[in-house]
Amino acid sequence: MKSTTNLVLVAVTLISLIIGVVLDNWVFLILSIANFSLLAVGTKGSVKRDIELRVERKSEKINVYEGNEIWIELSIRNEGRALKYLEIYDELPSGAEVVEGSNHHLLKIDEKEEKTVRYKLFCPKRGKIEVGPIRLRYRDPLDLYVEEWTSQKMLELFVLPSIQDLEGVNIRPLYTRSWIGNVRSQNMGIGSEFFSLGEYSPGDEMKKINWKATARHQEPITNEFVAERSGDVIIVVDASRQSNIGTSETNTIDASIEAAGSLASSILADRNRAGLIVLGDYLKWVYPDSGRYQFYKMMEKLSTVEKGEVWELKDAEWLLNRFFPERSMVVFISPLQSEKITETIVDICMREFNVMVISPDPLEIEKELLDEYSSLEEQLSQLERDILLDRLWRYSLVVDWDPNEPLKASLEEVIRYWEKR
Amino acid sequence: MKGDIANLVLSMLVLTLTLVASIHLFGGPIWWFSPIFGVLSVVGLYFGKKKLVDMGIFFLASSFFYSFRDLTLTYKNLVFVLSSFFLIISIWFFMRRSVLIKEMERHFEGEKKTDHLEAYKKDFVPYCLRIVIFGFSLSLLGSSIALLSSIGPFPSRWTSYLVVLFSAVVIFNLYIVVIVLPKYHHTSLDVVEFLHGLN
Repeated sequence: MKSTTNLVLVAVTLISLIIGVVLDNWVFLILSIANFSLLAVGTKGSVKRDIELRVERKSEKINVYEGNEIWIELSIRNEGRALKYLEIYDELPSGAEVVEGSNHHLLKIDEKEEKTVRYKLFCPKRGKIEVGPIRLRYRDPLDLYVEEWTSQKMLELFVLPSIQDLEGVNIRPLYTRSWIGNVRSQNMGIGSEFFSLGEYSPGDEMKKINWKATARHQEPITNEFVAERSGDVIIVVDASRQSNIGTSETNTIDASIEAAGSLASSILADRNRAGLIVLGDYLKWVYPDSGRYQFYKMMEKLSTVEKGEVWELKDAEWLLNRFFPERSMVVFISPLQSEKITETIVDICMREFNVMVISPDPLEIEKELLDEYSSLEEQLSQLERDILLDRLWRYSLVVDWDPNEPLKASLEEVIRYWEKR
Repeated sequence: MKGDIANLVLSMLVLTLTLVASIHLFGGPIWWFSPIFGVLSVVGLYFGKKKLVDMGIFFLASSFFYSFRDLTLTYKNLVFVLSSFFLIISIWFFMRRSVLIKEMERHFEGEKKTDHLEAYKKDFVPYCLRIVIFGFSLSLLGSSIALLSSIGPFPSRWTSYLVVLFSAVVIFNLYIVVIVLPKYHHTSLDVVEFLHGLN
């Protein structure tokens, strides 16, 4: 029980008793009796000795894309006596915005009754939101008796970064693995694209037999297909402090994260394995794997990225060499503001990694944010960037991406150019 | 609108009590005590500050009863003191109710807001009346016992102790009965059920 009112009444009872006795005054003695009877009646009328409530959340972990809304549900079951004024308050961190309903409810709940409260939360920015704990408070109408509980049932809400549609963009790793995928390999095997005719060998499926060729050659001939395999793609996101250009609303790190999420979705949809390394406040990585679960695993890591200054691209190189499969495709997403970026990328290329660099253009972000931009300054910065990109083109595919434009267009342009070459 | 009228009535009552206490204490060293705390409690009421209301009413009540400390012990005066006490308590409860409603209006939004507020408003008056009437009856009973056990004004300090102790024991016994009773009836405190239980 927690009630300051009751404590005040007890104090007043004692004070008036003491004053009455000390001053030998009947008025104060009578007041102490009146206070005491009020306390007895008021407290008795409100105390619920057998309060038993069960509070549950509908789910303990939810993923939602940034800019979206989500319903949060709580169910309360009363196993004890009926309660008239039960307050339920689901604590929210700053930044979470309730757009419909309320996270603070006042309920009348009968015995053995179950009630559900829900509210809609708007998730404006990527990150991890911890909803809870749930606070419950019962008080009588006079506020003489108050009882509070806290239920430590938390909800982990991952606000995933928004992603772009990259359907139709063929990000194909140069080296493939033995498992089936969508990338055409140099070998014959399971696939959909015709490669050549071959002799029938026992065990071949009937549907592989080319009946026209069989009739022509007077012996069973089968169709052979180009083996479609999958490869490993490792996405490296540069979220170091010097790579953060722009404001908290629009910046290169958010653009890089959006690109990484979009690429992960596209790569995994093509049945490749995808991995992730993030150089931010912490060095985070996800070992390559395939499937939907892997996608959410990567997105959860991406959602909590904050800029950091400890980890450098060299650390990513070390991590790649030590723990990640060789001959993987490495996609660097960086605004290329870090020092020694070219050296690092050359080093990685030397180790048989197939490298692609996607660079969100910081100049475009700066131009968008600044009203006045000196043309000389702009030209110099652009020149420096062009030189750097040219140098990188010698070793890898380079996508110069304006974050204000869709990534798909820039990617397609570069891949088309590469395929022609 | 209704809330505004209620607040106005409550403020008038508080200021009347303040005036009565001030007139009684006027000329003495602490005559300003009750106006200050009376006004403070009214300010607390309008600004929705529960602690200010509590503090204001506590000190206003203290100064009010201090101003009547020289009354002679008669049944008439006893009823007057108890009535004044429960009047102040009722004003205090209603002031807290007003503050609580303001608090609710701030916190609860949506379609549920009106239902809960209405339910609260509907429940409050009978609940408050029940508490005040029952409390008044109990204290009148206790005080009467105290009065009967002493003849006239308390003659000595030891008699006073004994009277208070005796009254407390009587009220405590009543309290026990009130606790025990609902266990058999599975009902919350209700005067009618309580009396049925006694029978």
